[in-house]
Amino acid sequence: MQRILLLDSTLREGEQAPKVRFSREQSLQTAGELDSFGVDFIEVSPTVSERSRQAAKDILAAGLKANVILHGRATKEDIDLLHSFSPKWIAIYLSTSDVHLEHKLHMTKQDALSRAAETIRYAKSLGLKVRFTCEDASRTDADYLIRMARAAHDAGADRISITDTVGVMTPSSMYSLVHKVKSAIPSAELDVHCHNDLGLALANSLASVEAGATCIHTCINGAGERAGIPKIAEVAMALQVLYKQREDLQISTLPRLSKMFSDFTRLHCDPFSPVVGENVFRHKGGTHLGAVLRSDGKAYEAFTPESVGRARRFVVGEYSGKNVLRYLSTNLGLNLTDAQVAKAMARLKEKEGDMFEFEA
Amino acid sequence: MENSISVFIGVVTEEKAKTSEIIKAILTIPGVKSAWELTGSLDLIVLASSQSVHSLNVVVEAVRACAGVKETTTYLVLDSHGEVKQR
Repeated sequence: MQRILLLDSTLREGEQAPKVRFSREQSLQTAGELDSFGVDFIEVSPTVSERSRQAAKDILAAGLKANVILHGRATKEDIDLLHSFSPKWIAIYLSTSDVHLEHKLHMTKQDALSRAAETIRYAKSLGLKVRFTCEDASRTDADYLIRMARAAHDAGADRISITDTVGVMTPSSMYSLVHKVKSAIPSAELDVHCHNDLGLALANSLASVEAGATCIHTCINGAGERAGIPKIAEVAMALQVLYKQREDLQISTLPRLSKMFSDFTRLHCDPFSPVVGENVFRHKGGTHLGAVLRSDGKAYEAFTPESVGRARRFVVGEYSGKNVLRYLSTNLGLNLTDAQVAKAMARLKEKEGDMFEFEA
Repeated sequence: MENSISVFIGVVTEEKAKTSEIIKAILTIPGVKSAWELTGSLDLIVLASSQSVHSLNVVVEAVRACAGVKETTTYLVLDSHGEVKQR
């Protein structure tokens, strides 16, 4: 598999979520942290307000390693606005599904093809790198989607984004769709932008890269419209753990990214959220915990807590086994006898729930 | 659920040691929450807490190393009751 690029859209897609709004300073700090983490693209939308325009200027002026990609509609008006910021990259979007063409854009399929080609050619004439997004691609007739992608490619689009805008794909259907587009236009570089309405955004994104896409769109903590898009933490770890690539990503900073987002938005991270959720390296059940102790975590961890800047924690209470008490006895010099361990164990079994936890 | 681990450290002091000085030293150890003077088989009992078992062990070792401390016994806190929740 090719090297997979990461585009983070926290400052564009993420801000489209209720309660998510970043000040200029927070936008710049978020972009800086994403850049340090190692994303390849940071997507920003300067078309929203004066604040968003100022934030985009700040981020473009910050000299980041990542490409800052400015997002707008496939209209000459938006392209001119985006161009006024002197970016290297812009992303322009146009709906391709029947339902969007009819009810949102009031355009025919032929008109949409023409609009895509004209706007891409216009942006290219301004010297811009262009990503063209086929909005609602997953609900678009596949033959028409290929015609659209080919029109975009022929007009000079540097990248084409295939979207599952309402999150209705399965991994196999997403694989099939991306594979069709890639097979029809082998030289096209494809992004995937998968929404999480049915909890399949990560799986669909991974299926897409297996089918030939080379860039996954993410947000910190999976923010975005409705159920959001894939979490940057889970995508990054999937690339490292499952596909053995992107070792350059600074994954130990993922918890900091997640916390920063929570602090800025006051939206708490789900404790079960992969990689960064507070439960991810907590072990509780007696037999699990015993196996974790004997295997240095390998028995019940897909990757080490240290690799992502976390620590392993053990929970003591009703569910505990003797292993955790023996572990504590050894590490704190308690010198508990077997009879004392058994007695303490019996008392823990009388408890209702968890008593305490600690970093192992 | 408490998000830290606590122990009581029972201390027997040297015969001629000044208890007040031992307590003063013990209370400077990060992680020590409180200390009580007792009569009987223990002279002092010290409550210490930490989020990490390893850093808590450092606290236990530091108490042990205080001048005038003869021997210690460490007791893990499984639960606490009543008004004093000292973790």
